[in-house]
Amino acid sequence: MPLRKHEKSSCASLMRGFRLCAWPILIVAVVLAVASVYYTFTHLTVRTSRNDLVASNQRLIQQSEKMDKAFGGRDGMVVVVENGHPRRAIKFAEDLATELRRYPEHFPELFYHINPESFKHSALLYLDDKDLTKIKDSLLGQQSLLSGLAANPSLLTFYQLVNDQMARAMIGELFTGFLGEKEKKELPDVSLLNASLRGLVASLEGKKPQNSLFSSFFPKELSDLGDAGYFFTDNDKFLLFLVTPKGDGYASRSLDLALLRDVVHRVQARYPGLQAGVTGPDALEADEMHSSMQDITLATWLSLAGQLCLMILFFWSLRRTLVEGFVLILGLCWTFGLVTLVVGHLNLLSLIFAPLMLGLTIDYGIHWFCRLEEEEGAAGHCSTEVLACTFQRSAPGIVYAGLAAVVSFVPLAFVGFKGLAELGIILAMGILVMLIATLVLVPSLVIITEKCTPGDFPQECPPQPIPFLHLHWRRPGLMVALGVMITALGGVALHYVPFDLNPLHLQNPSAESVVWEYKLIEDSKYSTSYGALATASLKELQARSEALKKLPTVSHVESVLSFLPHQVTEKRQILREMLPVIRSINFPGAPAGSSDPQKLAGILSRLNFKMAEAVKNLEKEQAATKEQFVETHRLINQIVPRLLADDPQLNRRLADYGKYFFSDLRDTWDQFRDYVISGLNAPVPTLADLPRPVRQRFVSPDGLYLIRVFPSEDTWNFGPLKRFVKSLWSVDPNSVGDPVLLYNFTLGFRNSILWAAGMALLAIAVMLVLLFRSLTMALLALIPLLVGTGLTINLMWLLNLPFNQANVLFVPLVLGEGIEFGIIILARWRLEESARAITLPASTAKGVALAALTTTLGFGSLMVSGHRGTFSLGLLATVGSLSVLVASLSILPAFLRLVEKGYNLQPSVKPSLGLGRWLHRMIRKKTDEKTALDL
Amino acid sequence: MRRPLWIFSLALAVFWVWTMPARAESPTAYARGILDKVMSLQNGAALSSQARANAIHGIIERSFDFAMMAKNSLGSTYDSISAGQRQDFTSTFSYLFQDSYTRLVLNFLKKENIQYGAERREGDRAQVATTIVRPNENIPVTYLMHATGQGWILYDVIVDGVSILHNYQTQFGQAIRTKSFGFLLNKMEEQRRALQ
Repeated sequence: MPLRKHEKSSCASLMRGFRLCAWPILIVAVVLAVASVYYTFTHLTVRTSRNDLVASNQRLIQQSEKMDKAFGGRDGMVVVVENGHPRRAIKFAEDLATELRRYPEHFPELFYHINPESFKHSALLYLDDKDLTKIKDSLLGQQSLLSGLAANPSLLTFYQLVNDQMARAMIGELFTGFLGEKEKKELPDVSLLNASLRGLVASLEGKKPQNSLFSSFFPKELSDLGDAGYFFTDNDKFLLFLVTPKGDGYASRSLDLALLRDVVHRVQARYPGLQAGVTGPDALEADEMHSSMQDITLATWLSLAGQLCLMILFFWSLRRTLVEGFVLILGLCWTFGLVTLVVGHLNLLSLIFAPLMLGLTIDYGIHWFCRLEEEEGAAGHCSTEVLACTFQRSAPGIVYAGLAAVVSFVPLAFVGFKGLAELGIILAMGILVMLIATLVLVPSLVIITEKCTPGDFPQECPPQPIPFLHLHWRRPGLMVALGVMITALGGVALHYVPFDLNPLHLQNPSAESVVWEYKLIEDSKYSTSYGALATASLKELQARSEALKKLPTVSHVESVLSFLPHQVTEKRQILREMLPVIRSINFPGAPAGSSDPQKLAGILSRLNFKMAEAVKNLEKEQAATKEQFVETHRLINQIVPRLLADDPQLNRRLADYGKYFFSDLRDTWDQFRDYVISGLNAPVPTLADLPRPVRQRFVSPDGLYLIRVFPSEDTWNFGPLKRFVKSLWSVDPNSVGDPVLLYNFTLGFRNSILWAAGMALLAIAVMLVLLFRSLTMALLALIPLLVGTGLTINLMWLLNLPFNQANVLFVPLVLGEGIEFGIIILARWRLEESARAITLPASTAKGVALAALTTTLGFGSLMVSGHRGTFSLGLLATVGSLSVLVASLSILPAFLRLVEKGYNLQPSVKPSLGLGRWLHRMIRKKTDEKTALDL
Repeated sequence: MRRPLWIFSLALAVFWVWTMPARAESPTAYARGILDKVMSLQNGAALSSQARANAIHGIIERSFDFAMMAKNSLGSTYDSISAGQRQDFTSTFSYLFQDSYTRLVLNFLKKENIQYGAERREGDRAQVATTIVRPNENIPVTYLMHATGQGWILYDVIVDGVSILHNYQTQFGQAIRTKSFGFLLNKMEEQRRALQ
């Protein structure tokens, strides 16, 4: 298209301006960059909380902050100890506490134990009523054995009574079992028998029995209150040690976490074989941030280096590559400065803006240089005329592509999801900054570095295009059909590509906090994440707790009530029923006499016979009981020969064991009697009796009571999370807590992105129609985007790649890129007849290819990340970029070839693509000043 | 004078002949005979498990006095029920006992070393004490029997100090006290139907 006079003169003025001001422009740019970097270092903060991704004026965030303020926001880090042996785990916990108390400035609060002394007198009232009833039934059922033993205290009596019981049970079951009401026969619990036999074996071997024999008679909570007060999970698999770190903010929390892990490892070294790790909400956040920041830094440098290498390869020029790299770095510095000024901080999402922006905006310089190469072709060297032609011909496409990219991100700024809004603003600003940097700095630097010679401006810029790969597009219909098919298949495939909403799946699976969170969830159904609600009175607390416990989605609730006994009246009634037996039986501290070994062997042999037969006849489902019986059989087989052997030590050892046995029995019995009597008579613990750490966590200074609600399912998965949150809200619509925030975050994030993408597409479509003044052209410009996205989704389906909260960011990214290639190709096709003649000039194709490959590298560099979310974004964006490239260089030209035949070469309305007209409007003199520019 | 003497002698001779079988085999021999037969069946490789169970069932059927056991198991309740109820009860009791005892024998008696202990007689009743002996295991089993015209017949077995008959008495007594005889009989018939 021939240059109009005014356009020609505007470009000439511009180039003269660049030639004169190249160095000042560069100096100003560098100074601005340095100032921006300094400003960024001193003022930019990083907000690492997920709460910062959601608008703070949201009711939920306000409620959450209120809850944190009221109850202190404690216990953000949890040390999890795998319980191989309770005593060892407890000792580890005590040692850890001693070590951590040396760092009060890092760990002001530790919560791992409640002293049970003040609760011992009500120990039985803390048991579940079912457990208490079981003790009562067992006690009343064993009354004759206990009375018999008390009347004639000896080992022989004990085993005789046990044997009689078993024989009666065996005969009763065999001959009159059908009279019983229970469908399934109850097998005797021989744990006490086995404990006594183990002790006897040890004694006969000359060793001291290790454990209390009678502890197995009672539930584990009562068996040894020395272990009580420590926080074991329900299945006893893990011991939990809660730590409140001092630091607030990523940097100080990271330091606290590193120190905590260091201390844990040091203490762990004293306990070979013991496994322990740190998790909890603060640890999960810090690990995620640390991993992300490390990876993003590496990704950014890799991205930059990779892109520059690619450019060297394509341009075969180190100089131009360095120029582009320099422009990118300066633009990035300006962008950081602007971000610090406008936004002030980065969040979990906007942290990754740098490699994304580099990947997108390097394209502008690439298109410019590709066009420069073509313009230089005929001239053979750089000159201001060549620069003017380059500028004039490439700038419109670059500007519109840039504006389209901005438009693709602007809708993000209007979503209610703060994290995305900030990312949208940052990327939009960054693209504009880079656009200006490219259009201002690249020509200036080329003038400086390549010493472009000045000369007369030509009447018109000579057309020099050669076709891309010398393709003539003889069968465009086939490619068009292929494009349509790929897009249609993509639409179908979209239904089969799932959206994985589990945030734990995004994390680095080898991060310690993630490993231990999974262990807790999988092995003991315990999560460090819980819902929270507050009540104004104890009565309301009770009612809400009862309502929550009935929910199938709730595993258990914690509140002050968890530390107080409940159903006291009913439990005291059970204790009263035990009292007559308790009072009527007294055990001496030692046996009445020694047991005759021969008689003892005889009675044990009779027991053994029954055990042997019982083992043979037990069914598969009774594996646990069978194991017990097998042990009984094994132990008796060890004991009987020893009793019948001629051993001078035998009587003494037997006598010693008898003393131990009855001493243990008397101590356990007396302790149990004390528990029963104190359970009946002692005052029931109240709120005032609770230790301060408990009251602080569950009662606010304003008198509010906290309820922590733990889920029964894995709420890191969206389905269970939704059910849990909905059921929480059915009890209290003001419930908050991590699961509630996560639910809102997950939905808000996904919906925001999809809404923004939809709005962006609409806005871009309108922009294209206005730009090309033709719906057909607008649709053509969308082809790389539509076909490329269709191809990407097909590949996702084939490779079984789901969408997730991280890689869904690909959606707005691919919009900008797809549109850019369409605009670049179509702009040239519309503006230049020589381009239309060959459909796709090589320099344009080269620019698009290089732009796509650098974008691929830019996003692909994210795949170095151990953070699976970032990795998946890198992977998907790589696949997407390449798909859009393929569509741009194959399907779009085919469409253009078809359209070209019917294209009106003299359109009635020219597209508003003329840069000269714009420049003229911008720099024209006032009407009373005439210049050569005036027509 | 001669006639009453002659009748008396005849009666004495009849009595003597009638009790001859009982006087001929000792209680221990009787018990041993049963146990030997049972163990030979248990260890007979040629027999299928069903045939074995049937054969043992047959021995038990012939060796126990179910009428006496049924009456003793009910205690005083036996006198207060009708003849029809007694018959039903005795029949059902007999079936259930045979089934349970067969299972006891099948489970507990294999290739056993049985030691025979003291034998005690009191009138027409006798007790034979035995012990089943295995390495590190033993269990005392006492057989209680009484004399009939055809010889000895068992009416109770005491396994490791627990009398089967006493077990019946206790359990049946409790069922009758807490519920009723009708309930007991229903339960027994239900069990019988389940086993058939």
